Amino acid sequence: MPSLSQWLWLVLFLVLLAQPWRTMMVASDGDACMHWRVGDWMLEHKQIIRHDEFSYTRHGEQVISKEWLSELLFAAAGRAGGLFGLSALAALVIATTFALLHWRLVRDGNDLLVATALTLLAVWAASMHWMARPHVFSFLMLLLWHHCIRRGASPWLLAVIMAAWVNLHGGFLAGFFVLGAYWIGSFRDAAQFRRLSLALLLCAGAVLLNPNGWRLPWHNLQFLRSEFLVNWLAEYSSMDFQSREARGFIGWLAVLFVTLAWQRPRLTMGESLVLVSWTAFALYSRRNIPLMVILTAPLIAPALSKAVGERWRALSARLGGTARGWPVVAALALGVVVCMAHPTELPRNRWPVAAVQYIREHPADFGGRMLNDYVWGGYLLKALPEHHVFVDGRTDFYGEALIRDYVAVTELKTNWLATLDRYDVQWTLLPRRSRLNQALAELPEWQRAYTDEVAVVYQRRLP
Amino acid sequence: MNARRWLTPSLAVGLWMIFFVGLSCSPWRAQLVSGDGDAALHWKLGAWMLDQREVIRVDSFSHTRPHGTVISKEWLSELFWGAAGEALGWNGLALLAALLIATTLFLLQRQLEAEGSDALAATLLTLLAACTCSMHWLARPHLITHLLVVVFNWQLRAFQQDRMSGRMLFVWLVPLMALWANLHGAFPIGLVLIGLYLVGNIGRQPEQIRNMILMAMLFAACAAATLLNPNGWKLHAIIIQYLRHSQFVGGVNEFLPPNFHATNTHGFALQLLVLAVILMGIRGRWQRVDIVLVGAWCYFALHSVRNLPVFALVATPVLAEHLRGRLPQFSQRIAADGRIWMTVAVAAVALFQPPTVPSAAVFPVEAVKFLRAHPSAVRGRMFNPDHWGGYLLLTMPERPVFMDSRHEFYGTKLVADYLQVARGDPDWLETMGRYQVDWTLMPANHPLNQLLALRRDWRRVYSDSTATVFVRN
Repeated sequence: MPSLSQWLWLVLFLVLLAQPWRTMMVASDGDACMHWRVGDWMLEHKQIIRHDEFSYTRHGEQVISKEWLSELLFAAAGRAGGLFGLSALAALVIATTFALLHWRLVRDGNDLLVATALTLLAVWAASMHWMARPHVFSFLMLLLWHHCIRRGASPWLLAVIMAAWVNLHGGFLAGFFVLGAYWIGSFRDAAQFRRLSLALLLCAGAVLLNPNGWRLPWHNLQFLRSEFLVNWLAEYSSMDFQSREARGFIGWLAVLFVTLAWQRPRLTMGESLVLVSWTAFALYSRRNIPLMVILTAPLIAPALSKAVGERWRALSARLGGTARGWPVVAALALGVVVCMAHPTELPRNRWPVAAVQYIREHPADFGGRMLNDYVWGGYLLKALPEHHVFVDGRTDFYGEALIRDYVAVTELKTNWLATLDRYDVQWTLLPRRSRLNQALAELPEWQRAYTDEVAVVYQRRLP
Repeated sequence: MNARRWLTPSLAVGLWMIFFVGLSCSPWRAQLVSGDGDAALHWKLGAWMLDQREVIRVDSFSHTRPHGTVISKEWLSELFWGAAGEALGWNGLALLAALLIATTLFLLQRQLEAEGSDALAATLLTLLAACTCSMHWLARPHLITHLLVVVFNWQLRAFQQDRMSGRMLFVWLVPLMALWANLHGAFPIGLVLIGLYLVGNIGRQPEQIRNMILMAMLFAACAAATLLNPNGWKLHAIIIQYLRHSQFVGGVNEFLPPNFHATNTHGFALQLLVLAVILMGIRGRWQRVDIVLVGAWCYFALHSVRNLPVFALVATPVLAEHLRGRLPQFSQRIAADGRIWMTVAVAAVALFQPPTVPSAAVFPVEAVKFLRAHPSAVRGRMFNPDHWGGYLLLTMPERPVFMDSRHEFYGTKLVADYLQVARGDPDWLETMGRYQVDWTLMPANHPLNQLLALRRDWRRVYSDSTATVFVRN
C-alpha cells in the first residue's frame, strides 16, 4: 500500500495532467513554446545555442543561455508528446517536489495530517506559478538544497547540486541567498560555520561549471539590477492580493502569522533569516511565492504539530502507510500517461492560432519584418518559424533598450511612429485591444490584412 | 518649576511641531494639494455648500451627469475644506491637512505613552508609523478617518486592558461614530474595529463573555448612529455599491494592492520587518485580540494600499506593547509638556506660511491659464482625465468636466465609457462621439493625444510638458 506522500504525488501528477491544468501550464504565457523551440534548435544542431537565431532585432548576437539543460529536457518532451509532453514533464517535476516536501515533513517527525494539510496549502499557494517552464526545476532543486543544508550534508554534495542547478535554471541564485542566511546564522557554531563557509566557496566554484562560465551569474545579476525590466515584467511584480490566485498565498501568510504569534516556535538565527528574507522576496515578486512556501513549510511544521490534540495524533498514526508503494503509483501514473487521450492545444480565444494559420496560407502577403506582441513571441517562434520575431519572452537577452522601444510603440508614446519606422516594421500581429491597432487604422499607409476576435494584422500598403 | 515644565515641549509635542510646521511650510505642502484632484474637488464642493447654505444634493459640475443626484459621503469635512480654502486658498488646505496629520501622530504617541511605553520608544514607533502613513498624506477628508482610527483604537484598547469602563466606551464612541459618518465615507472602519475586538474576545471565560456582549451592543449602537446623516441609509448603500464594483475599485490607484517595488510602501515593509522581529525574537504571549487586529489589518493593507495607514495606526500599539522595556528609558529623565507651543505654531503658520502652489508638473496649470485667456479657443464639451477633474472644476468652473474622481456618482457605465476612451480601446471614437465631446484636455504623454493627432477632424490647439488640448474641427 503506498504511503500518503506517494498518493499525494500520484494525485498531484494526475490533476496536473487533466484539464484545465495541462493547458494552463503551456498557455499561461509564450515561454513554454519559446523554451521548447530553443531546446529543439539545440537538439537539431547538437550544440548549445550561443547566438540568436529567432529574432531580427538582435539576430546573431550572443545568447547567455540560463537554462540550456532544462530546455533540452523540455524539447525532448515536446518532440515526444507535443504540448502534452511539456505539461507531463512539468507535472512530473511539480508533483515530485511537493511529494518530497510532504515526505520530508513526515520524516522530520511532524504529525502526518499536519504535514499533509501544510503541503496541500503549499500546493495551493504555489500553484499561481505552475507553468511548463524551466523554473519548475528550481522548485525541486531548492527543496533538495534546503534539506541538505538543514541536515548538515557535505559541502561537496551542495556543490554537486549547485552544478546541476546552474545549468537547469537561472534561479540558482536563490540557493546562495538560503545558504548565506544559514551561514550568517552559524557564526556562534564554529563547526557549522566552517562547513557552510566551505560550502559557499565550493558552490561559488560550481557556478562556473556552465557553458558561459562567469558570464552567467553576472548576466543574471545585471538583469535583476534593471529597475525598468523588473518593474515591467508581470511575474516580477508584487502579488495582486485582490486576485483569486492570491488566496493560497494569503492562506499561507495567515498560517505563518498565527503560528508565530500563537505557538511562538523557537527558530534558529539561520531559520529566522530565511523566513524573514523569503517572506520579503515573496511580497516583492510574485514569482518568489512558490520558493517561499517550500522554504518556510519545514520551519513552521513542528510548531503546528505540537499544537494538535491527541485525537488528531491518533488519526495520523492510523493513516501512516509504507514507503514501498512507489512501484504501484509509478505504474498507475505510467498507465494513465500512455492510455489517456491527451490532445493539448493553445486556447484559440487567447492565442493568435487562426491569424497564424492565415499568415501561413498567404506567405506572399507577409514579407519583411513583423512587430509582434511580447507575450505571443514564444508561440510565434514555434508556430511561425519562417518569420523572425521582434521580441519574445527572453527579456534578459533583448535588454532594456529594445524593451523600451517595444513599449514606446505599443503604448503609443510620443516617439512611437519614428520607432516603428526605425525597425522597418512591415506588418504587425497584435491583440485586438492593442492601442497600436487603433493608431495604424488612422494611417493611410497601413491597411488591415486580417482580423478576428483575438488578433489583428496590419501591413504597410505597397507603394 | 511648573513654568519650565509648561514651556518645555515634550517629545510628543515636539513631534507634533515637526510634522505640523514641516508639512505646512516645507515643499511637502505642495504635494499635499497636488497628489490628485480631490483636494480641489472637496474645496469646491465645500465652498458651494457654504455659499448655498445647504448640503449638496444635485450635481452642477459635470456635463455627463448634470443635475444627477449626489449622495455626499463627507459633506461635513467638505465644509471644513471649503472654509479653509475660501479663507486661505491652497495654503488653507495644506494647513488643515498638516494639522490633522500632526494631531493624528500626536494622539498615537500619547496612546503609546498612556499604555506604558517609554517616550523615546513611543516616538520611534510613531515615526515608523508616520513612514507608512506618509504614502497617503493628501489634503482630503480621509485624514479625519486616520485621526478617528487612533481615537477609536485607543478607547477600545483601554477598555480591553481594563483602563476604561464599558459605559465610558459608549459615551465616547457612539457620538464619535455619528460624527464620523458625516465626516468621511470610510466610517465603516470604526465598525470593523469594534467587530474585530468582538471576534478577539470570543471565548468561554466570564470576562470574555462580558466583553463580547458589550462589543456586540456597542457595534449595534454605533451602526445605528451612522444613520444620523443627511442621506440616511442611502449613504451606506452607495458605499457598499462602490466597494462591490471592481470597476470603481480597480480603476482607482489607492484601492489597488501595494506594489512593494514602489518607495511609498517602504514604510509598510519596515513595519512588517519589525513585526517579524518581534514575532521571532521576543518571547511573550500575544493576546488573541492583538492577533486578530494585526492579522486582519495586515490583510486589509495587502488588499488595498489605502489601508496601509490604518494598519500602521492599529498595529503600532501592539508592536509597542511587545517592545516595552527593551529599548532605552528616556521619559523619566525630563519633565515636559509644552502644549502651549501647539497653539503658537498654528497661529504662526496661519500668518506666515509661504504660498502653496499646486505642482504645474502634475496639474494643467498653464493649459488652464491659456484656456481662460482664450475662451473662444475651445467650445462645447470637454473630455478630461478623472484625476484632473477636481482641479478643473475649481479652476475652470465655467467649463463642466467629463468626469472627476467621484466614480460612485458617475456610475459603472460612464466609468466604463471613460476608460474605453482613455485607454484607446476599440470603438473609442464612437464612444467619444456619443458624449458629443468637442475638445480634450489630457496629459501630454497620453496615448489619446497620439490617436487624435492622426485624425484630420481634430487639431491640437495647445501643448506643454504637462497637458495637451485637442479640439474637433
